[in-house]
Amino acid sequence: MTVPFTVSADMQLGDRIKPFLVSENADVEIRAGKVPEALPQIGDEEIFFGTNYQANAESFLLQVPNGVRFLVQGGHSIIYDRDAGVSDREVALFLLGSAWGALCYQRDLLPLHASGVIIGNAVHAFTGTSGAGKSTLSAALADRGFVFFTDDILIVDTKNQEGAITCYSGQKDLKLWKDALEMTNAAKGQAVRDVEGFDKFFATPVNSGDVSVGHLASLSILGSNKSDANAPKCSMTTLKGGQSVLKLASSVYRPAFALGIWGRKKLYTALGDIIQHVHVQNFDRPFVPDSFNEGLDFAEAWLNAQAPSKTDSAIASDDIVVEA
Amino acid sequence: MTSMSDTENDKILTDRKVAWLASYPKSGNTWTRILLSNLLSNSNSDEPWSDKIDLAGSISSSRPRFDNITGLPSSDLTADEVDILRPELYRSLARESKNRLFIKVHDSYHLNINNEPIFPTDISIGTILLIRDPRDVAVSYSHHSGRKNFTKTVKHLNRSNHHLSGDNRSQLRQITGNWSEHYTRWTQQTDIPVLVIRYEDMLADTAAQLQSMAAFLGLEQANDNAAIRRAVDRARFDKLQAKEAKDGFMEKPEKAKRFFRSGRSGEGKEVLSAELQKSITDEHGDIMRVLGYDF
Repeated sequence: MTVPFTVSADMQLGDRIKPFLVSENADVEIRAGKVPEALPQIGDEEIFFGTNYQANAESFLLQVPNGVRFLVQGGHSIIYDRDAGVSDREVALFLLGSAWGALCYQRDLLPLHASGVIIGNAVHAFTGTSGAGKSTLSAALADRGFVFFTDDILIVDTKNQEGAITCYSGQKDLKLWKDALEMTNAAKGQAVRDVEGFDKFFATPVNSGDVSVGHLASLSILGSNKSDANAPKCSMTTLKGGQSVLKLASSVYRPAFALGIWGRKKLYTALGDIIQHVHVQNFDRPFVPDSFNEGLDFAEAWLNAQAPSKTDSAIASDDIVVEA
Repeated sequence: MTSMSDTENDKILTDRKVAWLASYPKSGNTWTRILLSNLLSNSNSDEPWSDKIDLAGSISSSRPRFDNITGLPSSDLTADEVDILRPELYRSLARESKNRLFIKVHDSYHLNINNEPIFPTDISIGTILLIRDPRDVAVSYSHHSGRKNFTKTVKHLNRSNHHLSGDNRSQLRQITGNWSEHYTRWTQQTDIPVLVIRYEDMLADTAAQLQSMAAFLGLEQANDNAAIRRAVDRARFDKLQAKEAKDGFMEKPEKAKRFFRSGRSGEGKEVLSAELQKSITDEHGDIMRVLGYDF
């Protein structure tokens, strides 16, 4: 199985979820329709109210301030609605992002906020807070010869373990800022928004692979050493046990949705399952663009050291450091 | 028996959890957060902070926090769209918090495109507005940004409707306005109570200013002189510098050599060219006079 579910859609979604798209008998239907202002209160069923979304066990409602609304239901449909004049591109951007994430939770799949490359069957993913550089680093590694696997969303199936964690690429296209395009040699596509001057673009990475499934071998949590002049420029520090679960909790895609749809217990159980099979580490490196290559060189060397035979199971590595 | 009006009053008091610590950049906001953190923790430690400044609330412009709470990537939204969600974001923070929040703000007080205040009155305890002589701000802010000359920073201080970030990867757009607009927009609104604190007065008598802040925010430590003395001593500038030299400081921009650089007042008059000083006083003279900054 190369995708965890199939999708049909009544609008063009480009290549971003190409492996998921089928013309008939899809598991999930994406279509235009009426999206209510609020989820109906049925009996004493609990509704989770977020800033701009509502969730219960079956349904998820999301409002985006660009005039688009989504209703994600039962893991089998995403209905979109929009204000007059809002384009397909504006709909698709958030449909394949936040609504896609909610769909994964409804289908009992854990989306991680991560980008990554694949070596053999082993997926090495990079996660971190918004703006940490996940996409740029993964695209730049693809430019150095690694096979690109996913951008922004890594879909993890914690049920299907068999000694390793199966994961799927959530999006095959990148979204990159203009300067990151130059740093990664990715092929620039259209701007992600209709808004004039919006400097973020869809892009196809160099060495963009067709592979959409693999075993999750490592998760590197991107950070910066900027605060401490005495710290080494680049370092990887293995995380274990509860420490890695806590770190991973902040790497979940749309954590508020996870809490609203799954609840805390289910989320932390899934994270606990992941760390049984996956090497989790902090990866700190300089964050200024001028020093980008230092972190890239470091990541490349580390990935090259991961022999395919070692990567299907947790990697036994000591902490690695490059001194300033 | 509790009357209806008492219940409503309790609810208002319970809902109002947020103290906004507002300032133009480099005007003592971080020092204030350290002082308040020390006062609230009342620790006997001699260091100004341990791992990080332990004050609930963080900064209003945190992009990761916006993304996590709204479930939308702020980097895929325009700054105006982000501002539509910011009031509800802060309400959500207040709802979820059992304790008082102290949220750092560089924005001036302003409305979003739906004419809703970015900083909601219904969750606000009040705003401590920290002010510093704009000539000193120009010098400090230039060093903070890793700039070798002061011209660009002065231009920012003078530019009407100036904003920070927006295209930055870690911070949301913050509409500061120019230095005078920042002051007037906060002091002319009447929805949120404002306490104005001058950086220069903090330097002259830190304990007295901290006591004013604590009283304004209704902190029980306001009358605890020993706790205030301890908090002030822990946050002495030489201790801040020593701690940064030893352990680094996570809020230091990568381009800056250090966060706690000089801390003193009067540097602007010494370092800025006469032309740049005149440009500042021409633009901000009226408000500078109101605040007692002579030129």
